[in-house]
Amino acid sequence: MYTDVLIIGGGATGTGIVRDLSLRGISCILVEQNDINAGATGANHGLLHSGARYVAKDIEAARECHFENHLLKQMAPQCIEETGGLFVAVKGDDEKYIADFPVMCQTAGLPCEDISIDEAMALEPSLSKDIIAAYRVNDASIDPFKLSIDNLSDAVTHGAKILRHHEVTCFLKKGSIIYGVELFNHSNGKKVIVKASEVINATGAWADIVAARAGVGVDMLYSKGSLLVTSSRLNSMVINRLRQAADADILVPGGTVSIIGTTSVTLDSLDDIRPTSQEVDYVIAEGSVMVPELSTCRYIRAYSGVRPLVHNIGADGRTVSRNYSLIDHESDGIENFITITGGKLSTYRLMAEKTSDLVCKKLNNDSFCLTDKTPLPESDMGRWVEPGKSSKYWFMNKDSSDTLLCECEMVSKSMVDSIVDCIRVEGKNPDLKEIGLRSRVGKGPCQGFFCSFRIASHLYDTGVFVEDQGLSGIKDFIGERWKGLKPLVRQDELVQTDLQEAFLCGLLGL
Amino acid sequence: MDTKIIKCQVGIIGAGLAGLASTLFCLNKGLDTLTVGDVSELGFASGCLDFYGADKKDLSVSSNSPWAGFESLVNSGLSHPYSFLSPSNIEASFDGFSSFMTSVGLPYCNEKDRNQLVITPAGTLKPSWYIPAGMKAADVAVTEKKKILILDINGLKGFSSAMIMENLKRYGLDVFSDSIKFPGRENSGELNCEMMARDLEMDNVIDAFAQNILEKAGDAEVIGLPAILGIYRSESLRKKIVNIIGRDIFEIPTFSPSVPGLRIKELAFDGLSRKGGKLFLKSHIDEIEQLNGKFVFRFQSGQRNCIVEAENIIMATGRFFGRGLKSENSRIVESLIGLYVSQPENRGNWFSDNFFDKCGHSINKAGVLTDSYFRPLNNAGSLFNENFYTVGSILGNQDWKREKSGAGIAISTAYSAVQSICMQASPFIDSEHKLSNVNKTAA
Repeated sequence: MYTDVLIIGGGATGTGIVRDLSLRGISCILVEQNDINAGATGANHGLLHSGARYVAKDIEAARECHFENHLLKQMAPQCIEETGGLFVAVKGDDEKYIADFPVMCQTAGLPCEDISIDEAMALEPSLSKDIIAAYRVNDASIDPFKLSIDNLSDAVTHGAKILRHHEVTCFLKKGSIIYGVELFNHSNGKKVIVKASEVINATGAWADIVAARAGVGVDMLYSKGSLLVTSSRLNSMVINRLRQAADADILVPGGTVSIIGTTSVTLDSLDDIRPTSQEVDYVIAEGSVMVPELSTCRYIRAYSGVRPLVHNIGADGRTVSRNYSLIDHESDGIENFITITGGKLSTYRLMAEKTSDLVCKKLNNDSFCLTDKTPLPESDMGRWVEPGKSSKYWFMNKDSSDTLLCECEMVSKSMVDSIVDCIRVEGKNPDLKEIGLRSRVGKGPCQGFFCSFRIASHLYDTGVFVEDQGLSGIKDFIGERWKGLKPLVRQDELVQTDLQEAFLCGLLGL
Repeated sequence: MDTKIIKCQVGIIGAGLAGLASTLFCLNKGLDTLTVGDVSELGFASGCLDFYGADKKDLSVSSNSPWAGFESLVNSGLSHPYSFLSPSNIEASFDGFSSFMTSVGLPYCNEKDRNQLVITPAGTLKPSWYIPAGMKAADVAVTEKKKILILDINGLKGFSSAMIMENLKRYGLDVFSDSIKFPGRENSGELNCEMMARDLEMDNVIDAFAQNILEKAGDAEVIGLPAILGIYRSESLRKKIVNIIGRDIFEIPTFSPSVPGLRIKELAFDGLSRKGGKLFLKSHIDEIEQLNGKFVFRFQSGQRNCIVEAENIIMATGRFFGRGLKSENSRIVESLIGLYVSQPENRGNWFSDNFFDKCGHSINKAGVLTDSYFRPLNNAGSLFNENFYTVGSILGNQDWKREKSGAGIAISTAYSAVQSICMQASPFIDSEHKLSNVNKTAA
């Protein structure tokens, strides 16, 4: 296989780059060792930053966020809910920071409106009665799954190829010149060779591991952040703590839920990243200071992502700059190899633009970026990923024989069937995990415990499952969801877990 | 609102399996009894009465010999509730409960020394000690390797005959699968088991239903269906279908709603009321006080405030689902009077990383600890009260879901607690009661 550009990594950055370059008419192949958004893009807050969080420590980042925030709202509105945001301080918070905040926003060029406590409480009744200051900003909620899928889909429309479950095992080099990679296909155990003129390492937290395979060092810090998803949406706007950036500062609404986080735990390796019960308790305690309901509400899932941070001397996970690192490894003596890492979801497009510009320069191609002018089309693949979409579709169709298999997120038989068709078209095996990736199945309050059995039943009915595939599928699917449930089963969640274990283990003997 | 004061010898809190069994055994002994319950996990029960169904060494392997498992539990030194019970206690308790159920129209089958096999909605085989007569044909079909037809019903989701067939085949059984329509509800969209069960109590529906089954029967020797054959007259309905189709049928338990569980609930409630029990369901108790040597608790029944004075209490309030246990600030507490609950040191240890861990989860063994008479102990090992008993799934040192011992724990501890109450009332020692050392620490 041959291509102009090979992109390694299927997160926001990688999918952003493959779209950017494809729009410029450059042939691309994107390879991903696991699945789309398997890294930080699939485990973040879903926050489209106004930039106000960074005004104190990183004004450049703040400005970039502000610009991209405005641009993405025009380019990809289907992925964004324009919730607006609040920064609120409570009794005891740093008064100087509160006073400096509007000035710092102004310096960075961010709109920031001082509002009264009464107004804040009217906008967000879930806020604590102890708030002492409130400002309004342009934060918004963004769906990172839809974003990546839409980017990918547009890239494919323009000729790009995607290879999932393909891991780069080594780089093909003539001396210090890279001319391609060898890939291992995890789905079938075969090796694949891809030759390319330029290779981009957009693997986020795995950037140092991949770069090492190319013979280059990238000094990274792995910082785990854990977040919790509430069972129902608690707020309509993003709510931030008005203080120097710390843990559990942000409550982001997303579709039918709210997400509170995050933490900052330095890790030694990327093996087995999972949220702990201590992190869960800490986030709930801190978050409840802003929004008291967080200490009593029901949670459906906890998850962790690893921030890809390029190391600065003597930094902890939080003071390392969230700005991205774009490295042309020519400076390390290796040709045709670039690493792009760091950064944040909100500036993915900009990171992709800068990377694509650099690549084009190296290819002697004088094309310019089109992603700031060309709206991102909404893809078919991304249709069932949007919360609430399934229920609108099902209700409108009013077909009483189209039974709901997932009642939490209202995913019906016909939707499951169409998702199974999509999966087959992509050449993969339909199973619960693949269905979960392309829809909201398992993402609602029951976290797959009830619907996994119903969907497995339906897949046996339609001949997709034979023998014990359904049973092992259910165990795998629930095993995955359990990672995110285990640390937060502590109050009402105990009731559901009790019942689910009674059904799956007590009755079925799984 | 008017108030009524009721005095009784035994007040039973909880109307799940342990609460109803306690009520039965009290009434059998002629004790004046009042039972109050709220949640009742019975709505989700499969109808099977498990005594012990797991392999003694590996909880994930099911076992057909319950007594071997029981022996090893008792000898393991883990202070399982069964270690306070003798085999004859256990047999007497199951025999007593199943005779009662038979008398109210829900007969059970058992074989003394082996578990029978029930076919589940996943096509796995569940070993259980006493099974509803309506499920017996499955055990016969599996042990005698008969040709089996599994039928599902159009519109009933979460029940796939194809799924059951595919998984049963792994046991070397000759199985085929098909679907039938439910008479009168062919275009009703989604169906549920309770709705169909109530429909089938009507003659015209059951006849048409039997015809639908007959059409698909082919050369099957025995036919499996989701458990929907009525609520009150399930035996006569099943026999009617068997007559029409000329072969045996068996029910497959479903999850929610579970008609077999509903049957136990409704038939037991009726039967116990007719035996003289005073039962109040959907009533919640917030606290129990002690006054002049009696226990006093209050609840509302319709427009009336009831105040109960009981000489003895049997508390059978269940675990998390039944609301007998709950958690507060990451500690597990007993909801009603705050009894000591033995539990893992901290929340991080409650659950295993693997949901299907073959050893189960540590939190499953948390619960109230008791003396050999099933009276709760505090953390120093002293009795809470001489006349206060706790029975059923709220007890610690057992994992009913993994051991497959839920009904056994409910029924046999209820039986034993009632015996203890009678013993206290009478100066003669009941020679059946097994006295064992009380181990006060958690496993």
